[in-house]
Amino acid sequence: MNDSVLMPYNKIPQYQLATVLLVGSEGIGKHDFGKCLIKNSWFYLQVRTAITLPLPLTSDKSRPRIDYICFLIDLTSRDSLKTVEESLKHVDVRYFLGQCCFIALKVKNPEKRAIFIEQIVQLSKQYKSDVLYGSFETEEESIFLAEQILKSVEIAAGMQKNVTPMFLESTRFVGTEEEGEK
Amino acid sequence: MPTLDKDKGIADAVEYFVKEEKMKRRGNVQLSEALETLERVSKSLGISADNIIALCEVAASGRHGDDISCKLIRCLIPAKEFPDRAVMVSISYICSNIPSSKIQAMLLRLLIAVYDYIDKKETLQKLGYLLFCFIENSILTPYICHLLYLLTRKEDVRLFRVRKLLDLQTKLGPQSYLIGLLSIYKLYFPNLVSIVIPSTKKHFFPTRDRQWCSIIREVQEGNQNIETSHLKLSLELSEKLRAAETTMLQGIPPAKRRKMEPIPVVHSSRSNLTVKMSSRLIAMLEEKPIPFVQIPDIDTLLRNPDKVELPSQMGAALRSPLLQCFMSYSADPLMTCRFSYWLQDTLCDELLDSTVTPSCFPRIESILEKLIQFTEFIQEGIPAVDQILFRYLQVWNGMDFRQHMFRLITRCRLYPFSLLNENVLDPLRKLYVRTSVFIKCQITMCLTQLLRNYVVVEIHRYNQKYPDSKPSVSIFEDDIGPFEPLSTVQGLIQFVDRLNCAGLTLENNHNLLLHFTLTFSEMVSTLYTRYDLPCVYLPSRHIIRAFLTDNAMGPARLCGIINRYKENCQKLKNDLKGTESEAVRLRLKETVHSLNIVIMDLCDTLWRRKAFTHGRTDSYFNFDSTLLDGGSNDGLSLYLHQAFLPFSLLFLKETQPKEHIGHPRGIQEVRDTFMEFLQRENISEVKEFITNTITRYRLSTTTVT
Repeated sequence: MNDSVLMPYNKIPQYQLATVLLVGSEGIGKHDFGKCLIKNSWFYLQVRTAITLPLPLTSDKSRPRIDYICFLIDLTSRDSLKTVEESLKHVDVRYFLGQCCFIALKVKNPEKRAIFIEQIVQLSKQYKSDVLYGSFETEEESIFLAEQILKSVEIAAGMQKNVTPMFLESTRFVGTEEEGEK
Repeated sequence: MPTLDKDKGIADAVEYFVKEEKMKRRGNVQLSEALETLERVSKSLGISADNIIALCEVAASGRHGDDISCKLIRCLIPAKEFPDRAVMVSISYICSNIPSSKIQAMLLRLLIAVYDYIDKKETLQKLGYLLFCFIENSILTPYICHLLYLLTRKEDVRLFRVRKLLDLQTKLGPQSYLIGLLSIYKLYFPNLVSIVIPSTKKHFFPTRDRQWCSIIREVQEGNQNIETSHLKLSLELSEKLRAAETTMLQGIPPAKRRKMEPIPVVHSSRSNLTVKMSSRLIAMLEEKPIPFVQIPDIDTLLRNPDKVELPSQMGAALRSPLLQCFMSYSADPLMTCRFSYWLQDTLCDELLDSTVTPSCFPRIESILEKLIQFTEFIQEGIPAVDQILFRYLQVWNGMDFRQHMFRLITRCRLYPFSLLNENVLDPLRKLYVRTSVFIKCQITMCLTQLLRNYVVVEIHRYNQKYPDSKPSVSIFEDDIGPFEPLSTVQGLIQFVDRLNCAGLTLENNHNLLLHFTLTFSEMVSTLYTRYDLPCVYLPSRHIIRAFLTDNAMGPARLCGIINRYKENCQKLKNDLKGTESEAVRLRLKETVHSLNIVIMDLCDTLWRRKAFTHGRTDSYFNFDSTLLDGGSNDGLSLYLHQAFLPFSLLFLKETQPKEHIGHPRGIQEVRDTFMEFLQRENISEVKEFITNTITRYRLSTTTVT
């Protein structure tokens, strides 16, 4: 197993503490968003940011277990999509069972768009993870996005009774000719 | 006396100008006197029609040179009306190119300034477009554009003219007057003009002759005041009131707002926008179609339904309730096509293709609001809107226009389930699992309404279309092709079921969410009895959570739901005798089996006090006997259930003497009375359920519910 791959379960979880990792290119607004997350969080949260994966091995011992990963993509810069695609190769497959998501920013500026929406949709289908569209321009939007992420993080860290990320994934309709099951 | 003097003065002056062949420009006392008289009179009283014609002839010919001609033209302020003939004279002279450009420009400015006071505009209409040939003369271009802006009718918009204007634009740059004229062309034929017109119309034609116009207005008003009696005033007032009524019916907003809104006003090419609507006019127009702008109220509409000419911009239907009535009456495919095209273009432009900032929100919200009102009025969703919705929901951030989005989704048409899921249901699911309980409730309610719409309206619409293809009753046609509508409905029900299951777990049986979930289940439980849909879809096992809450709503409504499912199944079973295939009957049998499990569970817990000792392995309450306390069997019974305990205590308080209230367990003997008591407290579902299922009651003929 490649040492540089980020694993979800190779460390003991922190007590009552959730950790979320924000991955995105420089200048996308990770630190401000991180502050927003912490401000609006109702549980103990640690936010870590990275421009690209794999994370440096040297600080691996002091790093807690990463419960949730957010990949931030800026729709006006093709670079951000490239860095995210590169980073995706270093993530263990178990993260894609509801413990990661993509965030596409600046969707409301279609004139400056450099990435096709179809590429994002393709990415989402390929990794079976949701894409949340939003922006950090107004306070309200940031807070709304933060609350959505926080709900997912809480479940991924196991802080909600009887709910696991897979449980949420089961609401998704998969396949085309599936017989209805109860 | 002074008037006579003035008249004489005027007559002399006019005669002087007309008769003189060559004038000395300098030191000509007569000239300056005549000019002075003219100016004085024109500014105070205005000039009579005949004099205007004479002077116009003189000035336009340019006989006496540029300066004098210009001064003369400036004096041509009409006393009452600007005569037709003068218009003809001026345009003819302009077209003959005899006068210099300066005089031509001056004449055009005159025509623009007195435009409102020309009595019969037919001459101007007929001759006006001859001026188009001179549009390249750079001195004249702004004035020609302005005049043509006022004159253009639908027939005048021609491709070569559009091309010429666009060429000029590339040469001169985007001048405001060119854009002004192009905006009128775009209003009539949006397909010919593809440039973007800015929405502010204020600065198309800056008033260059403000002083002149104000003088003209003053003179006119002064003259009117002299002649007017209060009769004329009241006539004007009544005309103004009728104008206001018309505009209200057409939904035209006050003039200032009109410029910023993208929804067009009802506008017709061949309409005369004055308010002189007399019966004579109606009679005259009987042969030709009536432009929609001239229809002031619904009575006129009803009298001439086949003679109405639609406005040039169908989008105006969103603003005018009268036009909406007309649209729903005559489902003309051309009209709906135009409307759909405009709607799709506008919505795409506003929502998807342009930068959306919070300042655009009020405008977009007003369009969506009007659109929702329209769909509510015609009780139909519009396929073009569905397409836009699909695209927008993919990139929606879940926050903007949430209420409007939900309401538009409820009117979504029937599509094959995979399409519906990918485009509508998946974005909703994404939002559902990540947001607060209140948004979950809104989503559940939206999906309940969608289901209701499907079973009440859309399935019938589909059945009418295929396979017989009878003429349909819907206004907007869609072109999806044949598919299985029942499978979409089934898919939708299962999807919402899964969402509800997840939601109740996430929110720990929140009461509000439970209410909406139960409403959805109540709707699904009556699909056959109320909506004639030949299928029964039981909810998944999460429904038993409703039974275990401490809110009486939960168990009571669950009993009601199961009761209705029972009725549904019974009726379906009776009606299906022998006609259906083996698969359908097998499915029904399985459904009945599952339903029986639930019924048995409910009866055992509520009534028979055998909650955990019933010995059925497929029950919802299947626990190992070693785990249970001996006396727990009636823990979920009707009088000891945590939801009904308050009612038990109330019952005891009412029926027992104060000294020995007793224990709720004592209610066991008087269960019937307790059920009546619950019914009194508005929890009648329990009684209905028990009387329907417990054999003793069902077979008893004396029990009357």
